[in-house]
Amino acid sequence: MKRIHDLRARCEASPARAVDEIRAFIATNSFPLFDGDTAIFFFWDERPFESVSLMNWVFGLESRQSFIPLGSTAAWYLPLELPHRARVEYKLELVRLGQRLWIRDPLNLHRAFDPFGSNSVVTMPGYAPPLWVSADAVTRPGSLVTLTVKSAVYGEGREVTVYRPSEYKPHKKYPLLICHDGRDYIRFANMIPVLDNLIQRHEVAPLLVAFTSGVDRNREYGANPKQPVFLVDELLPTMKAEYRILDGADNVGLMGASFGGVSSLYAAWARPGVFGKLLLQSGSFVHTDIGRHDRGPLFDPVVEFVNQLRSDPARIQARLFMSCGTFESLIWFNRSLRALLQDHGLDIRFVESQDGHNWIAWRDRLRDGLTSLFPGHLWMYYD
Amino acid sequence: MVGSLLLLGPQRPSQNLSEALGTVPGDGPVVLITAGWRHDEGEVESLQRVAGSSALHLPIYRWFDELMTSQPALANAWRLRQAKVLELKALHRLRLLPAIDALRQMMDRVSAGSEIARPQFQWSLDHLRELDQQLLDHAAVISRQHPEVLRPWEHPAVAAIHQRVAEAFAGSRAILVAGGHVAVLRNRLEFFGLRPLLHQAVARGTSVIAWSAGAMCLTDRIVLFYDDPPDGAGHPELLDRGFEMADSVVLLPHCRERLTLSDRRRVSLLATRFAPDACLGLENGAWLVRNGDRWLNRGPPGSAVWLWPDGDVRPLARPLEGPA
Repeated sequence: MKRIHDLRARCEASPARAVDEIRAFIATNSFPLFDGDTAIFFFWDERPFESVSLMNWVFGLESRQSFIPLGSTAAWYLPLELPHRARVEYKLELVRLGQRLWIRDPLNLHRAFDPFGSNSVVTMPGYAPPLWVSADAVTRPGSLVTLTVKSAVYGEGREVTVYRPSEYKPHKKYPLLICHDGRDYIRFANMIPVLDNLIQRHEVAPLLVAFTSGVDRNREYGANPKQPVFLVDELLPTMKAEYRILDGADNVGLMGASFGGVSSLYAAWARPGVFGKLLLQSGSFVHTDIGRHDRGPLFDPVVEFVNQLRSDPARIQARLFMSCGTFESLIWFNRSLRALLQDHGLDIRFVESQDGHNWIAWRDRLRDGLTSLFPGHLWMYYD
Repeated sequence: MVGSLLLLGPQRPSQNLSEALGTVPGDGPVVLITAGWRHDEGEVESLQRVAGSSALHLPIYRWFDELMTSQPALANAWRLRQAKVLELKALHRLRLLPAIDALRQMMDRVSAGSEIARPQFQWSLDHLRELDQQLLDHAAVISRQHPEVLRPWEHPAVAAIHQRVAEAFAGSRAILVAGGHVAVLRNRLEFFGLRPLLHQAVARGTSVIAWSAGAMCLTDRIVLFYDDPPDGAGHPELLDRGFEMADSVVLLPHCRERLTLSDRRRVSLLATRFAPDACLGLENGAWLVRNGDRWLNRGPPGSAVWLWPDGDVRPLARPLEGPA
């Protein structure tokens, strides 16, 4: 905070030079500033604003954090204490002449992208993007092919993108992982370079990944009986006709995030014994002990399913990896479900991160999930 | 004339095998062993382009699989022994982890200047080395407890393959042993009795060129390592004894990727634990050759590095002088 206090003192000592002082301050610092566990956000514009706020989706933190005016200048600042290694996505809300405007932080170039656009990102000391998320020149890339699954249950052809590891040979058998929200996992969670890197390092066994995407996504993935039919009776047979898949449910996995996690768990529950491995990220496992939920009608079938599952958890015949961010309200549902499933003897690895409900958080946990469910011969391979 | 032993680093992204092979005298055929590639053992086209069209590939991974199907009694005996070895490893790990943790703490105390910690550190180190030795000894005991697979190559069904390999080695100029899955490779070589055959071949003048896991198998002790595994602490552990053809070294292929070389404490612990053997990291381009009682790197500077007990990592570009 010393830098902010010094700036304020300089501006107050010489109001005529305040703009120059602020410009120099912006030019000589990168933002946000950090002071221990506190991130200090800064905003300045020549136009006056009635208020500036940081809008966030951190569960447990007020979603609107108001900036503080820097004395009588047009600059604003906001000290915000955040956990070590935390990663927070946010936008700024500017109010001028009664009009609200949401923008990305103009002083912070770090961005995170998702299907809805992009946000600014602050990462606290201790967080670094994993080394295995980016493509490089040394790693041998796998290949992608597209096939169309004729779906009677959805009444149309559904395109599926199939990842084949670099070592792929048609005569060999591989495990299969089916991935919900496949397009988004590829686009926003870098899943292809992640697979390439982890397989080349022998951290993950070579495997096929079928990336599928919903059309009316939230309805199809929200514990919809049509989706297990699509996965088990349409997609899986198509994959088995095109590729050699290792025998046994233990070699067929299903994954997804948010509602994709719900759909994965629902399919494993509706069709037990088909999917032996589940990778569930920030699953929207909302449930109730009494009364109604408050999440809107989209969650009705989800809550009904999770409540049923809680009364018969042993019906799940799979090994699970679950992850969730501690900045999500879903953390409580995930922790609760994890405990319940573990109590019923299911093999679960559960990982929490200091992050929210977003694609980078899901990307960052892919190594944990994939190595947990499809481990490679890491210790043994020296090519 | 005794054949040469050439130990190479990983052959990706670029290979130096052809250059190494070019230094081997004679005009006999070249023998290829790629059992470490497991299911991909037979995909040797690129290797044959380097070794010459007359190169003879010995598919010992496939032969082993076939024997495990056709000889159920032998297969059962082998699996029974392997199951015991796996149990031994799991139990050994329970003792190894606290020993390494204790040694690290002693190391920190010594670094902080504690005189009391000095002998404690030494005893902890001795204890760790004793554990390593116990693993090897106990594995040998388990092997002796299964005499039916102690020398499997004397089994009638295996003897013919052993003989076939011996004949292939007899007229060869060089034997190439590729990397891959080090435990699979070592076990298959052991199963078919290639340890004595390799020794005999070198004594007769055949050169052996081995890289990565292949090179590890030829040393006295095979050390598995990965500092940052997705699960667990990543402590190095012994796989087994090697074939004792390349002595005084512990080989660490891909060490820059697999080891945190900037962590002096980890480097020091690894090098100290396996001293007086030299812990040598092999990167792409490394090419170790024996010169008297020393190893030289004929590869580019930095392609082979030497991990020192003081935590230093130094390029191996000149004759070894042996760690203190």
